[in-house]
Amino acid sequence: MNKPSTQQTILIYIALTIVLIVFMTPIYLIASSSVKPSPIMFQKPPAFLFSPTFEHYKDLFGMRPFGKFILNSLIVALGSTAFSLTIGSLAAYAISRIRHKRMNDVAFWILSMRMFPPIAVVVPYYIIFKTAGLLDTPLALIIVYSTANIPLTVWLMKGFFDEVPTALEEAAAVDGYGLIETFLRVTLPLAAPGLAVSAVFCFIFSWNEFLFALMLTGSEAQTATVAVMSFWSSDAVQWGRIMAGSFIILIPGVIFVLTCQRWLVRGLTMGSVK
Amino acid sequence: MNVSRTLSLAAALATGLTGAAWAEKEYEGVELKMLAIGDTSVTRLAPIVDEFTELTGAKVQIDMFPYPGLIDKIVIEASANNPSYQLMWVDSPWVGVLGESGALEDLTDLVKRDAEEIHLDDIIPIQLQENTWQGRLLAFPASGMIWHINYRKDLFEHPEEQAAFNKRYGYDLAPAKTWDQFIDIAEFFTRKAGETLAGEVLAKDFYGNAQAYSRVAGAITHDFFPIMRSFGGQYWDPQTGLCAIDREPGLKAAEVMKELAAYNPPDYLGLMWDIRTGYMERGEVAQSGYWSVRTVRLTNPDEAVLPTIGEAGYAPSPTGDGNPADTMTGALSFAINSKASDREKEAAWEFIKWGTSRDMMRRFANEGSGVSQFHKSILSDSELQKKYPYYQVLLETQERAQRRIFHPFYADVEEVFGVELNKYMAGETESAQEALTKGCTKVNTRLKVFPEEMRLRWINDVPAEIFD
Repeated sequence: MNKPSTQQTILIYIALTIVLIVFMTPIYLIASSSVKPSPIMFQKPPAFLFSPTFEHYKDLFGMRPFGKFILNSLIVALGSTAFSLTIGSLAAYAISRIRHKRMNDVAFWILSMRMFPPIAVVVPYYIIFKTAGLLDTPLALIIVYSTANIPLTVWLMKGFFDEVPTALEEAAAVDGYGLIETFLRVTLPLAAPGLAVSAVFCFIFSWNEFLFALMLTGSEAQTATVAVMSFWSSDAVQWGRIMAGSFIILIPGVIFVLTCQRWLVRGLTMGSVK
Repeated sequence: MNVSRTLSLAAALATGLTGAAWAEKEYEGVELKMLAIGDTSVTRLAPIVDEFTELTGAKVQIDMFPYPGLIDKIVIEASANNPSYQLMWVDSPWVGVLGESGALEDLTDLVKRDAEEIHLDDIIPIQLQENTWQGRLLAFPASGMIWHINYRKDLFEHPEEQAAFNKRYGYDLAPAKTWDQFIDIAEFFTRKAGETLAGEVLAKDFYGNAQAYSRVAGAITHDFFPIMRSFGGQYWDPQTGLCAIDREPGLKAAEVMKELAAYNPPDYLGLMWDIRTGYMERGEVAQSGYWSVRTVRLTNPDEAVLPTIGEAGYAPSPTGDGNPADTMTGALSFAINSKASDREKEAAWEFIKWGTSRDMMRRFANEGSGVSQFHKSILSDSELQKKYPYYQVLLETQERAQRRIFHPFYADVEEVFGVELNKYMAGETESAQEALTKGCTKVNTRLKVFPEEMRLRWINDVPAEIFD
């Protein structure tokens, strides 16, 4: 491949800069608004130079137990991710390996679980969890999010398992591995990029979800997304506090994605394409 | 006795609450949870609920949720037996939906029973009427809003500006009594950077007016409906129970808003409630109408820049012909879940009485809270009026205020007309008639599913018995 010319390099950098600006502007607005004094929050033209204030962060943690809400979000997101990966991987492996004429229908049926509109099941979920005494607990949200995450995991992981040659499993069987050992020690490690991709999708969905978190929680299991939006009241939208909360909410997601990044690039380019 | 307990009791004594008729720890063991939002009517109360526990024994926990979606959560919560929440925060337009669903306990008899204790005759009647549905009082006001005008008093009273205005329009510069005057004032004060305002060269553009034109959450309707009502408009046809917003008063109101758009900040199509009031709080506009819940900020240099650069004036909302007309009112209120147990209901009512009592409201007023007052004695208090000059306007305007929309389809109306009015203001719709007709057609399509008898019942604002 020829080395790009100086002009091409400049153009590439210009294009990259534009893309970077487009993607980073919302992050900049969130970050700057989170430290911008309220009276100049919507000043026109926008105030780029100002004395930053940490009042919004102080209010965020002072007026509500925001640390607890972040912890709730982490418990729910990590719990749902772990549960979905465990169940989803096993189901995907079965669908990938079992040869049966109706297996595609089973796979589609699992995917269809993700198709119904969330609003349609809010009330049934509410009644079920109320009856079971699980309302306003992280477990309720873990269960609900897993119903959406498991189908996604199944479909993502099925593609990765299809890519793993069965000859390797047969070799493992010859070496004396049972089905579970073969899965855990041979197939699953080879599909690790798929796990990373699935984990990222499951985590982000669970971390960002709002509707179920609003309807199924109270103060005990309230998640950060709902807590941040609770600064939207009837007489005002307290943008400073919302921005401060939003900035904090961004951090765990970024850390999680960066942690998985090692496997992510490879995972996004394989598995779904044969 | 620890320090916090001592302070709590001292605070209770200071507000005269120990004089209430609670038996010692009468509700010991009762746990109340309140489904609420982070509104000033709640945030000021949440940190001091231990005082209520000290008095009654009942524990109260206030959970705050976002305003969008809260009504759905209330409806779902009220659909289950043995509810998690016994107390609900309610915005007064919700009483129609919640009243029809049977979600809220009727407070009429409780209010009648405790009329003396709650100083019923001191509460502005419209604030109670705001919370009624079909003759039943379903919620009790915790913050009573009124729509009124804030303006830059320092500009209105500036001699050069007064002379220039009189020369241009032929009458004296003063808070507008009619919408025509309001438009004149908005036009007069709209100036470009470099022009002079009150003897000073403007560093940036200055605007005559700031109103909400955003379709988000129906924000534009909050500005449109007060104007429509001031022209004598009604939401519903009394013969059919169908939409009547597309009639003459509605058209006039839409035209007023369209004409005012030119004198608003350039981002007017996206202006929502507090973003709009922000312009006034920063002193960047000459006048702006809004609910009274944020007016207190105009008196506080920590919350608004205006107090440091000028002085705010307060006036009733203009009317179509300049004669006094009904102003829009609203109430942010507390209610009781109808599915709560009898003991919980009694304790919840005690909490409502405590949290909305005249003493508590006076305490909030002294603290500078944004809670909008609804007791005549507080609004007419001369000391408080000195501190909060807008109290006088609130007192006067509420005398003949008219309640907001209280129909079960109120959310549809806000949503539909939010979009249609915004499109008209943006020039996407040719005329006001087209915009309003489209809006009414959409609303009527949904309403016509229901029998006329039911529609007529919904629009019939039966006063609760407490007004007898």
